[in-house]
Amino acid sequence: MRITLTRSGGFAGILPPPVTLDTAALPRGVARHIEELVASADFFNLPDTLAAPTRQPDRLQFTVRIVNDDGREHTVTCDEEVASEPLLELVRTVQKATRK
Amino acid sequence: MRKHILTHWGHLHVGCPVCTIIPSHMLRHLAQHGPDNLRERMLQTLQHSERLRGQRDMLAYLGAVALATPTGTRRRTIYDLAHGTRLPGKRVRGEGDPRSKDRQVNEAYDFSGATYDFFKQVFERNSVDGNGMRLDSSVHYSFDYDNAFWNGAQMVYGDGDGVIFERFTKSLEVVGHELTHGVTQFEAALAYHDQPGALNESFSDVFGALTKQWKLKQTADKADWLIGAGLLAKGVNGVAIRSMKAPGTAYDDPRLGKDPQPAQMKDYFKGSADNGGVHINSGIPNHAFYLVASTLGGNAWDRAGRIWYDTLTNMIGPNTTFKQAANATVRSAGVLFGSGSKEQKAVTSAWKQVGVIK
Repeated sequence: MRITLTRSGGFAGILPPPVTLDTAALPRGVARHIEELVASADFFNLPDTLAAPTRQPDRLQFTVRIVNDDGREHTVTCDEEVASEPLLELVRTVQKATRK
Repeated sequence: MRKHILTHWGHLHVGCPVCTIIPSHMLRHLAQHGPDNLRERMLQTLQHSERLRGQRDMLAYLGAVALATPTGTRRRTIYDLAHGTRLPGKRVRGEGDPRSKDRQVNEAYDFSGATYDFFKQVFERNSVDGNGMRLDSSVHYSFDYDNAFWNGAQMVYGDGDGVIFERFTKSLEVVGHELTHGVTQFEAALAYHDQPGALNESFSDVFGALTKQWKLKQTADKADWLIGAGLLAKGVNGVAIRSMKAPGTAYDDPRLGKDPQPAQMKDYFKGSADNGGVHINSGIPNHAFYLVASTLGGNAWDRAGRIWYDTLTNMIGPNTTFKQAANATVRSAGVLFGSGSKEQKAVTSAWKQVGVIK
């Protein structure tokens, strides 16, 4: 499973380069955690856009693209305020795993 | 005095609607002699109802009452989320409580207090809503959270990841920035996208920077005009998150990218990221403010800050564009300092320099 994460907004308003990871290259435990989060976020059934009705100042926005090993892929752009806890945890985990 | 009362009008719509059924003589009595917590509300309700009735001569009277009436006090409460995200978290320090052992708790407490004091002493504004609203802050939000935000009712701070960002309570101007989002919400209520959103961001940077300058007693030429100084962790190539003096130069690091802020309309960011570049295009009005403050010299909050505050509270609304905001500050400078005054000329010139007006 390959995951690409793009972040924008937040107090810093930064547009850092997107980060990508392949769960095959991760320690087994981390990979399994990510797969579980993708499942519990019901990622492949989420709409393309999850937008907050009114944005709270300085909140983050992120775009997650996942390509499964079977070729299935999906991209979700989400405002932090309306993200589910598993989706937020997925973003945190990808960020941590890709941090240099 | 008259001016003081006028600058308070912007927030009167948030007054207690039920209070308008109380006869004005009773309100007047309460405003003068009632318990502390009631006095200011009564005064504001009075101002509101008198304005509705158009009784101009009442203004002078109310002005006198305002002077004689001790206005609000700070009511700070700090909560510890212990890395959770369910707000507000566990209450760990209230107003007047002894210092905590937790640095973030003390910073959130001290800096929200400094911001309250700044607005109170410089603009005679009683808290975020102008009506003594409590200042709630939650610290230790989530894990490695590289952010701080205002959720419409309170401030929230992350610890940073420690690799790129330090804790977000570290900079006074960041705390001032967040609280100013609250002020904007109760005043111009600028929409959080595109140009109104970039103005919303810019007002937060302006009053965040002014809070710090006021606290440090810095004149415009001595200030660093940085937003989020000290927030970047050791090893990151940068000095802050934004620079009002030189937008686009705050950082340049492989992990963060380069500071994307323009200082000029010709470099306006047209993308959809960041709600249409609200933290990016804010560089343009930020720089205009810097130019006004540095042209006028002295304490930036005295004149440039006064014009911007009057604009935010009296002159603009949810969908204001850069150009409309520019014209509003020019009008405000004329009202406050005189048509053709050097203050008004500085404002006009600044907006021309950043390419917003011709």
